[in-house]
Amino acid sequence: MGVSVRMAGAEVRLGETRLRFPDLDLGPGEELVVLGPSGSGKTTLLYLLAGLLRPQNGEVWVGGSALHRMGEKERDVYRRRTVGLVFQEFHLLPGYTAWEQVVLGLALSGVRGKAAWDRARNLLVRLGLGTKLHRWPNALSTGEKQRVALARAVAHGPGLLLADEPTAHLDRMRAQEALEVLVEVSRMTGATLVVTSHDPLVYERFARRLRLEG
Amino acid sequence: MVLWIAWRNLRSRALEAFLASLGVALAVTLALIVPMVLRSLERGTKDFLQVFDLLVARKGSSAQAVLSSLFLLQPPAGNLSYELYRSLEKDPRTKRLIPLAFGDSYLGFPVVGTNGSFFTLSQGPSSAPFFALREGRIFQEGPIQLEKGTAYEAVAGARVAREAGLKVGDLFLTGHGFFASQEEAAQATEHRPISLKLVGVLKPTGSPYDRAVLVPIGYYWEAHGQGEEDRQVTAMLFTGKSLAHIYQVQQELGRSSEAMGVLPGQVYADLRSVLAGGETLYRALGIGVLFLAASLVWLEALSESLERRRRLAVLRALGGGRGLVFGVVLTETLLEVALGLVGGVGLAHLLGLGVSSSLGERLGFYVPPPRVDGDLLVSVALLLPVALIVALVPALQAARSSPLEYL
Repeated sequence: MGVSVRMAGAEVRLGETRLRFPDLDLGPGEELVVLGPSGSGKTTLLYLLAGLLRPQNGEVWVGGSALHRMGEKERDVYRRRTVGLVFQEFHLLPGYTAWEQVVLGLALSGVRGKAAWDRARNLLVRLGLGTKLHRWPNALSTGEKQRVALARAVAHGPGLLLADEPTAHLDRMRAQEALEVLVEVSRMTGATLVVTSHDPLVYERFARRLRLEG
Repeated sequence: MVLWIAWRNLRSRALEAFLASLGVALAVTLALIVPMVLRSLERGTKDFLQVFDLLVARKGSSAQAVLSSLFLLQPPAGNLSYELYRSLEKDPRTKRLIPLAFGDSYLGFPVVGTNGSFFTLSQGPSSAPFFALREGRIFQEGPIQLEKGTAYEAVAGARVAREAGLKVGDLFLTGHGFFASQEEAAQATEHRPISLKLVGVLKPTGSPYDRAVLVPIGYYWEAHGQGEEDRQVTAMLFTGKSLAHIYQVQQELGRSSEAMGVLPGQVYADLRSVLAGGETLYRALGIGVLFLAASLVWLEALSESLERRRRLAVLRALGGGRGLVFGVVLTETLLEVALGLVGGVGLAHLLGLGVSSSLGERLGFYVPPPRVDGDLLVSVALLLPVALIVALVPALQAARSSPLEYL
């Protein structure tokens, strides 16, 4: 089930840089693309919503939880229960097969044992990776890596799916395909989707857009 | 889950982890191997030396007397007069006196002149004879008549019989010194060629006497042309009617210029204390090496690669708390050390088997397979808590670092 997202007057200081984000109100299951040039704070916004950062000023509410008031431990719990995060570089862990990457995501959110292994396999099969379960990350193509990263992010059924530049490393055809998979999986799980990008292909795909100034 | 993640993390940096574990394994092997082999040697010699009460030998070094007469390793310091042998034989305190004569060999195996009482030696009054027969019988003391002349009977140790292919009923010649072939033995000038007939083979005892050919002392005297007046023995094994008699005889011999009485158990204890000193020194060195290995593991954990920091940052980003990251780093270090520990104990065991077997081969007696005694195991297992302590700093560092730095 998707969660609502609300940001008001959120401000983050990273060293000397101060980033002030526009206010935002998203209903459960809504899809949003965040646009802006490099350095405009697209990734920082995702990390803010992911609970990896806490705003110095303003409010960030996700599914009724006030992220701006949460301590670190609470934000850890929030992240593993509510958030699915797809990194721009995928960050698949070396030493883990495709299957194990997804099981790890599930294990961190509390799904363990056979249930985790079964759910991870079923998801990878649905994403067309049934024959790549035991592949190491370096034996996967870029598109396959992205699908594994996506499976790891959504396996535990997060209410909020965050994807950082999901088409950054792909050619036009594969970017289109990757975007479809992302939207399809997000709709399948009912998650609220926030995507950052400066790719017009992504821009055109989403009805709701948030533009950050450089 | 911590173990599951730590194991996969180790797998992803298999070479680094292997090298760290190998360092620990080699340190553990170094720390264990010498004490293990020394203890095996002790176990191998202790049982055997219990067989003998008092060794009477030419005055000189007691260690050399034991090595030459009991371990058959070094040439004896000299011979003893027949008068001394006769006087001890007639001594009312004597329960049993066994003469020993050395110097001859058969295909490189020592030939020992003795008497039938040798086969009654045992580890204690109620124990079975230590040198028991596997087949045949013991020799008769005097010469026997064969078709082609006079001969003496002989009993072979288990290893001589096996390696020289001697069987009961075989006739053979010995020579003075060591001869590679029967032809050389027959041409020896200091030695009259007298045939020996094998009448018995001993059960394996694990002692140096497994590689000895035992013959009647009369054979030695005849082969070396020693008459009633100039007979000699190389050493004697004395058993008194009481323990006090053994000490009395030892003291009396100590006052003579010709002979000395050696208590093999005492020589063993002296040797043990020398070895213990060496072992203590070696163990101190071993602990130093173990600390060096722990330092290597610590440095390896501390100088985390970017790849490792990123992996931990991803764990945090996926919802893993600081506690999880702390536990994972600690467990990775513990796993490396534990694997090195198990590998080191295994390697020490394998090497110990090889060393003890080769030592046994060279020294001519059975050195039991080495084992890792509890105290040795505890001394190397101390590496685990040490590793736990040294891993605390890198684990805390990893847990406290922000995941955003490496994403």
